[in-house]
Amino acid sequence: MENENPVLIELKDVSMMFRLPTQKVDNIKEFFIKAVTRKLKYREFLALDNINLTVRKGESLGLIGRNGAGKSTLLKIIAGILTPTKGKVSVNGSIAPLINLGAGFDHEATAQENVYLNGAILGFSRKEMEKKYNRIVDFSELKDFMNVPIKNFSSGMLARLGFAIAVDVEPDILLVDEVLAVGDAPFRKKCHERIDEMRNKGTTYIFVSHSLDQVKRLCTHTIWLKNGSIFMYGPSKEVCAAYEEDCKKNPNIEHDDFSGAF
Amino acid sequence: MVAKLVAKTKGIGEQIRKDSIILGMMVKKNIKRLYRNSWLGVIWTVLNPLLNMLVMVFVFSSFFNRAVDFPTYVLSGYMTFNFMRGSTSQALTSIVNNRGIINKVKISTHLFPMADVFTNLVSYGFSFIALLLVILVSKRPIFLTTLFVPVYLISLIMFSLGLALLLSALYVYFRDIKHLYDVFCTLWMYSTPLFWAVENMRPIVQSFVQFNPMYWYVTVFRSLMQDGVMPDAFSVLLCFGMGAAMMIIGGAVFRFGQKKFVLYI
Repeated sequence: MENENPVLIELKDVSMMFRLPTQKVDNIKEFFIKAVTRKLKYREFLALDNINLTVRKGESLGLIGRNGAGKSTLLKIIAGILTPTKGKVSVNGSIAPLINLGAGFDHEATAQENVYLNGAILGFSRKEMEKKYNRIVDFSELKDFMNVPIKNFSSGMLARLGFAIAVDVEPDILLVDEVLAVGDAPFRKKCHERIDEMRNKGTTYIFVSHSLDQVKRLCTHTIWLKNGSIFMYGPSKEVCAAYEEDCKKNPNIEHDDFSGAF
Repeated sequence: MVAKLVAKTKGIGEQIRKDSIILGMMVKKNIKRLYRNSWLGVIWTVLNPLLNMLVMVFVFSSFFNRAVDFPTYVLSGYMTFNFMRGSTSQALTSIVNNRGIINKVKISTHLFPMADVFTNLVSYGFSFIALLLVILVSKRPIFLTTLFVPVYLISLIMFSLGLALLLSALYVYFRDIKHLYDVFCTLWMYSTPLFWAVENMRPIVQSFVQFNPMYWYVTVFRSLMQDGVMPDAFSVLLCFGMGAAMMIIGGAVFRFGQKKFVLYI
């Protein structure tokens, strides 16, 4: 952990509170009726609780935890999609997020249009993307489908396209959320090789997965999130072993920590 | 201190460069999609306003006494209103419809309503060609005041963009405004002198119509295109004033609502 590389991501006392209405009010009439009769009730849910995290250049970090532990929320905060209710986030460098299968996709548009749109979102002009385009198509192995609107794509195809774009734009930071889970075995192998290659080049990545083998193989350090806090942090092997042990002991998710908030 | 300021300006410049690339791409994609799978393709952009104008001339010309330049009158009003209506009602759903992108990457969300306004601006450009055709065919002159249309357009874009931002942000929280706005637009269209003339109306209607922003935008456009007269300073100031006011209101509401879009879409 003691390395002197520049800090790319720093989170200070970051908390994320979701205010969920107990009944979904999404029209004006109901909103006013409920506001007047004071029936607008919210349930507060602390998804992340005081997270402190420093990630330096070249680090590979795994993120594990049960469903609802706050992994995706944390990733979205780092990516800048969500603004935390409390705390400070600073990120130095370009980020390519791969959250819920693929980057930001317009489902009505064709795969080709989406490649360029994604490139633009990550800061690349059309010209710059034209140079990358063929490599992206080759890597994703979707040559025959580039003119198809991606609403017709399977989840595996979406993951392929998203991953191919994200690795080709060579970001400083790569955020990967379960993308590799849907690909077939040969593609997964290709992705692993690519990630290794990127790590050797000094790319930083954060990797969310439920596959502990993947985490152990790809990440030097791992964070175990439990009920919105960092429960354990350390070398991947140790953290994964402890997590595995815990999952065996308590197969049901403990919800006692936030049941008081209802 | 200075270095920090320079870095900040550089950052903003970089962001604007990035955003304009995205915006250009979205507009292009929107236009392509509009005419995908259609046989005549882009020709529809000119044909569509022409055909609509013909229908209205056919239906309404009997109520009208200035029969000769009625086509120009109708088309100039119709295209102005349609630009505003098209951009705002498409922008209304833009944030919600692009949840797939907003949920997964960091992006300036105001680009989505902006893209809809600029897409409609392109259609407006084609309607403008149709208007010039109609003027030529009806053997009326094209005045030098036409050159001022781009300046006038800035005020109309400001008004539409402001309203587009306002509606797109509100729609995230209140889904029924889509239906309300649809109905409202129909009412708004008939309250705007598109195929009727203010002079032919009762005094009460004449004074009432002045509270309709679109009345001013339509009238200024007609005086440039149809009468060849520079509009009076009051009308011009009013157009820009309403545009600026709409931008401020829409921008403020959008900024306020923006932080929590991800949680509601």
